[in-house]
Amino acid sequence: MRERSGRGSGGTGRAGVALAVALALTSCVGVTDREDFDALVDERGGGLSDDLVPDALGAVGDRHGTDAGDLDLLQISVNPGDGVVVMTVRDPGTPGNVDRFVYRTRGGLDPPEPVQVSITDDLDAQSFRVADTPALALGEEMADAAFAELGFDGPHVESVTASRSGGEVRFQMTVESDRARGQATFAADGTLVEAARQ
Amino acid sequence: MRLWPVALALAVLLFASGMVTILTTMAIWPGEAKLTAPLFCDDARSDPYVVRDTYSVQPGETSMTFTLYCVGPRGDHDEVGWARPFMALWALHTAVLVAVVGAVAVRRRTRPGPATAAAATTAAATTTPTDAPPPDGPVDAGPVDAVT
Repeated sequence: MRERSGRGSGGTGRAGVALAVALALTSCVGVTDREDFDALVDERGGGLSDDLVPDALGAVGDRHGTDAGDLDLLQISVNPGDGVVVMTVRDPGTPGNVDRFVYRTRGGLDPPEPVQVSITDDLDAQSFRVADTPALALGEEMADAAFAELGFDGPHVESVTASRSGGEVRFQMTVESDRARGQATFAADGTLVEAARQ
Repeated sequence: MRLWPVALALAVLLFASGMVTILTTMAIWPGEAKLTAPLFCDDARSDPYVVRDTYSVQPGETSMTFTLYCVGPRGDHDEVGWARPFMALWALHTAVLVAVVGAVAVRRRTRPGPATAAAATTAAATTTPTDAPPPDGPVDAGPVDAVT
């Protein structure tokens, strides 16, 4: 009887050690691989939230010591999956100077990079004021409108870019799914202008 | 003079809990960091995920890093990192260890030692039930049914 019980406890002990070693080697309990996490983010819509762009503009405003609504943008690009916003902004103190800012949800605002301006560039015609562009804070609503219009299965927002051309501010939202890709265009107030599969 | 034992015990405790935390979070159960989500995730992004990045340092050698994310319903996410969840888990493991050690210490103090137990056994053997002193106060015999 003693010998039997000794064998039994030894077997249990060995099984426990084997389990611990297996767990230690695999190191997978409760972990999501990066590829699976990126897929999960896409499944949920791509990660575009209403606060991403306002946070980025607020950081630029703080850097310039001014309210974010008073900033004049030449262009803004959003990559929601990576949580990165790239902004080309006129210096409020010296409007003839243009800087490029990169904002990351993890890490905040990078130092500004100066942008060369051509003598032929009409900055007044190309720039738009943040306070006059409500769509900058309507990312979720715009994404829902684009998803509904495009009708993709499992869509997510790949990127959003805003610039001014022909006197109108236009937002170009790229929407992707596993099997399709499309683009939606919005006005400065967030109204959907058109959406088309590419 | 009495501070040294306390400091030493504290150092041993922190070292032990630190080792447990390293072993658990880096090798066995990295997902334990999700338990710290209430500390680092807000209501808007309340789903915690521990994401593993695997790098090939050199042929035959692989390196892994873990990162805690708080994910919202639209896929928006905050990167919490690893240092803060690790520190929180270290504190948690330390608290658990203190509780376990404290419980064991209290149990040892309240449990009669070998000499006390032997004396109690001897006393019980020499004392008959009729010799036993009556308990203090009236004996509660429990509820008694009325006899009709």
